[in-house]
Amino acid sequence: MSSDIDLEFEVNRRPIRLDVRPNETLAAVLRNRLALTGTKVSCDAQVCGTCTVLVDGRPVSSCTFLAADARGRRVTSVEGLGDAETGHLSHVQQAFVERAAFQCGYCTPGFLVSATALLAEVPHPTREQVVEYLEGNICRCTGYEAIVSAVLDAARVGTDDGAATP
Amino acid sequence: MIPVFELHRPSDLDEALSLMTGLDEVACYAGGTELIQVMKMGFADARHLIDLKPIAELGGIDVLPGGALRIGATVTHRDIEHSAVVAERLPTLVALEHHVANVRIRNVGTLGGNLCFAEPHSDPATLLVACEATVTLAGEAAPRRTLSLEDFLVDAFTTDRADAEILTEVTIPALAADTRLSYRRFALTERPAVSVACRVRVVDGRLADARIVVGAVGPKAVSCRAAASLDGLSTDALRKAIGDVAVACAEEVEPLDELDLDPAYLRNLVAVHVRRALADALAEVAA
Repeated sequence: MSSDIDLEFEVNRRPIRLDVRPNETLAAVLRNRLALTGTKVSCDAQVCGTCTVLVDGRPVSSCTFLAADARGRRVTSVEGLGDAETGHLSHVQQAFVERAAFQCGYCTPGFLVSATALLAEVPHPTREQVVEYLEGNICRCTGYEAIVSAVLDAARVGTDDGAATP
Repeated sequence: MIPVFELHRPSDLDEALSLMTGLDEVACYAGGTELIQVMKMGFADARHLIDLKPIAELGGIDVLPGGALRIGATVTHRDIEHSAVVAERLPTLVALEHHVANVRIRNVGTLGGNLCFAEPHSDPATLLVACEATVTLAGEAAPRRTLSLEDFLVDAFTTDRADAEILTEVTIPALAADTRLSYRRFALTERPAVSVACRVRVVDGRLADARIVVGAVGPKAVSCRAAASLDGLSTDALRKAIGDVAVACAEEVEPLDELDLDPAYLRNLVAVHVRRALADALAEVAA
């Protein structure tokens, strides 16, 4: 008896319109309907952070976020961080590559998206701020040192690129 | 997999209340960080979900005449964490919100949802009980009622809210100028294993209106009777009495039987954190 919902929203700067079931999660819609499988689901309980995507620039757990609640909003998944057409990586992605800030890589999309949100909010975080912000993202390979260093690298590069360096 | 449900999006509170009254197996939600999670895990079911987010009057943070702080039910943890008004009037709540769960949950989860879910390990509940906060409930064709948060929280995952009622707002009375608050938590996971909030007034060097609230250990945040023994003490006397008060508070708590945690260990955690929270409050007085 549940009716489909006509969902209009934006995913990685592209307008999207599709019918979703009320009980479909944003992660399921991204992965199964839009083939954006960079977003991973692991704990399925909003704890591990692998399913992190941005909704209007703010990180959420897409595993428990109803797709219907994304109506009219801008969703950014890991695929939207760089430039998919040119293959150009974002500062955060490039810094992860240079620091080899992953081992198995399963947590990486979530870390990339969370770190992107942090740097948008706090462009020059301290190491402590990075650690605190990312405490909701879990790396079971325990590669945290390289991840935190990569985020700090990305912050520096972002500053170098900016015209208005403080 | 989340069970199948019908989604309703009322545009105002009256419409929401009429849906709550008229539908069977109905639940309301805002962030969904609690309800959607437990539905997914099979611990809750609903055939109809009512989205409260579009209802303007359930949002907003305001200072009421007289100085009380009103926080709408659908205000997110993040909105509180970043609110200049709350930072000015209740910085302890801002600091607390900064550590609720993780940034994703803070972006989506709401204060009203947190309190209605009545998770024993709620961070805000402990501090808000210490502040003698009240909650307001609306029902269809019934006058709104306001009751203390302490009475609203009945048991683990149980509140005084009737099935068709909606929590509209949380009100935190203005603190007297000489009131100090403190909050301490100890967390093994994202939710605290123990949380303690203290409220202390110091008038002419003596304590008054002391409240010590312990959360996360028992089924609900409890205001410890032992706090009454602090009233009238000088701050120097409190420094000497602090250990005994902490132990007395720990003895009042009835630890939940969960995670095979030893109740004696939990009581010890309570005593340690009551001591620290009281010391924090005193340090503020000294400053």
